[in-house]
Amino acid sequence: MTTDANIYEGIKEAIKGLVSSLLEGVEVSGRIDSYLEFLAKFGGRLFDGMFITIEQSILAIIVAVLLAVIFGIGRLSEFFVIRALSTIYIEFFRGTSLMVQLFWIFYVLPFFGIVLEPYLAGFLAVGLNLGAYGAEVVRGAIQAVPRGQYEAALALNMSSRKRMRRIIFPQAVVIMLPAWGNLLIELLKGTALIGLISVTDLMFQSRQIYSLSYAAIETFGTVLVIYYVIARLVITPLMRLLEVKLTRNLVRG
Amino acid sequence: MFEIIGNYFTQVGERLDWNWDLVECVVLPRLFGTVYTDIGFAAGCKDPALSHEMFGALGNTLTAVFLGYSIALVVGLIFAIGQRTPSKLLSRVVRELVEFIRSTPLVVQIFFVFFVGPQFGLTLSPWVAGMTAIGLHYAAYLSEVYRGALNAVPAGQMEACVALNIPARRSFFGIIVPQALPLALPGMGNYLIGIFKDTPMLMVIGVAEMMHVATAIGSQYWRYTEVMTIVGLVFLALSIPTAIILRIFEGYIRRKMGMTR
Repeated sequence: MTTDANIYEGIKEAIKGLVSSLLEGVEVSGRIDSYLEFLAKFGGRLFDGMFITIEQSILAIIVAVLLAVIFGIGRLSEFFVIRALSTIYIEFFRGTSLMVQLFWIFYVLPFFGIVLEPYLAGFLAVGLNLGAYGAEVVRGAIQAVPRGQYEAALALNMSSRKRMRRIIFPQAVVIMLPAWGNLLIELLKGTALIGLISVTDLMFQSRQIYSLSYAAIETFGTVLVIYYVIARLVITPLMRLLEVKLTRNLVRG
Repeated sequence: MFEIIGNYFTQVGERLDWNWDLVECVVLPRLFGTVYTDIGFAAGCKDPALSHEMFGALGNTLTAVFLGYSIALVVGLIFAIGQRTPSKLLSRVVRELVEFIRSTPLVVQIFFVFFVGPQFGLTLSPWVAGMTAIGLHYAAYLSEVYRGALNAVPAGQMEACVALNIPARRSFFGIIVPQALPLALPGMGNYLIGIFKDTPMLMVIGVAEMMHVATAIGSQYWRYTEVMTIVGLVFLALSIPTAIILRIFEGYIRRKMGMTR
């Protein structure tokens, strides 16, 4: 565990070192005259923020996917209690805004004896919120699996658990993947809010940099581009790759 | 076992002790404005924090929703038509712009619009900047809804218009759009609720909507429980019925337009 953390820290330092060496020749004066100067002065902060945003996104994705699968299947359960619980979870988190949930988890849960670090509260809130949207996607995908598949599995005398695990769910995953691509971008955008509870993510750093430099277009422009690059050049291609990988194993008739 | 659980809840209860005075005299008047105080609910308060606005913070939130959505409806249509023009360059540029707006966070966009203006000598008020940002953000989403709906209208309709020699503008607004509208309604309704749930982000530049007032009250009295819970309940109480009403409305329009499915 510690070695993994060290490797990760090492990668972070290496990237930052590379960037700062590229910008070494740039003079940094009090006033910021060029964009390169801006980068030389604040590039480190932007990278720090970017890493926190990526970490938070990954943790939130794990929470969201787990919750989505659990409650998406729970929504279709034959037991009334499980179905009701899932519906309450989904409607509650879809009905209120992410920011309210985030502030509620951060400010109100301490009264219930649950004190969460901002870092933990951040990805939990985002994961809980997007998990509710994901649960609806999962439910829709499971319902979109052709009816004949249920019947065939039933005819082969599979137990309901085996039917779900071996027959229905693998086909549902393929159906739900495109929707998840959009959801993950929503999730990335959602993590921008955790800066408001003082997690030092990209949004938080952008406010800090702005208050230090008053260079609005450089600061917020760069941050917007970073978010765009993560969304379009990391998340979208990865999801497409996953789609190709998963559909290859499934012969679809 | 039961003793431990019981103790936990008494502890929570002691810490929590819901402060009704705060709710009645500060939270509700500032969230719901003079409408609330005039009715006389706040009569028992020694010093109610009177709101001078008619509808308080909730009114501001709903105004933001109305203005932002109006901008989004119009600009979204412009974005959608921009992607259908014969000019390859224009449609490409609009497409990229929509993608960019859709995949970057609204908070950062709000900061961008609010702070970039002064750098060029154009100072925007929080309301103008906030409405521009939220309007453009949802315009990008709505343009996708419009585009999908417009593409779903069979190509034969446009061909028939050409055959009948109907002018281009009239065939678009008179023939294609009325058929696309029922298809676009579900998406449009979703984003109406979406814009409502995204208005709290306007607090970062100081628009006095519900969340802004809630954090102000929270930090003033150092009690977040009541105000955060009530704001959450207001969101729930408004968004779920709106969703149900919109669904009924969609069905009505569909029947009216003679669509069975």
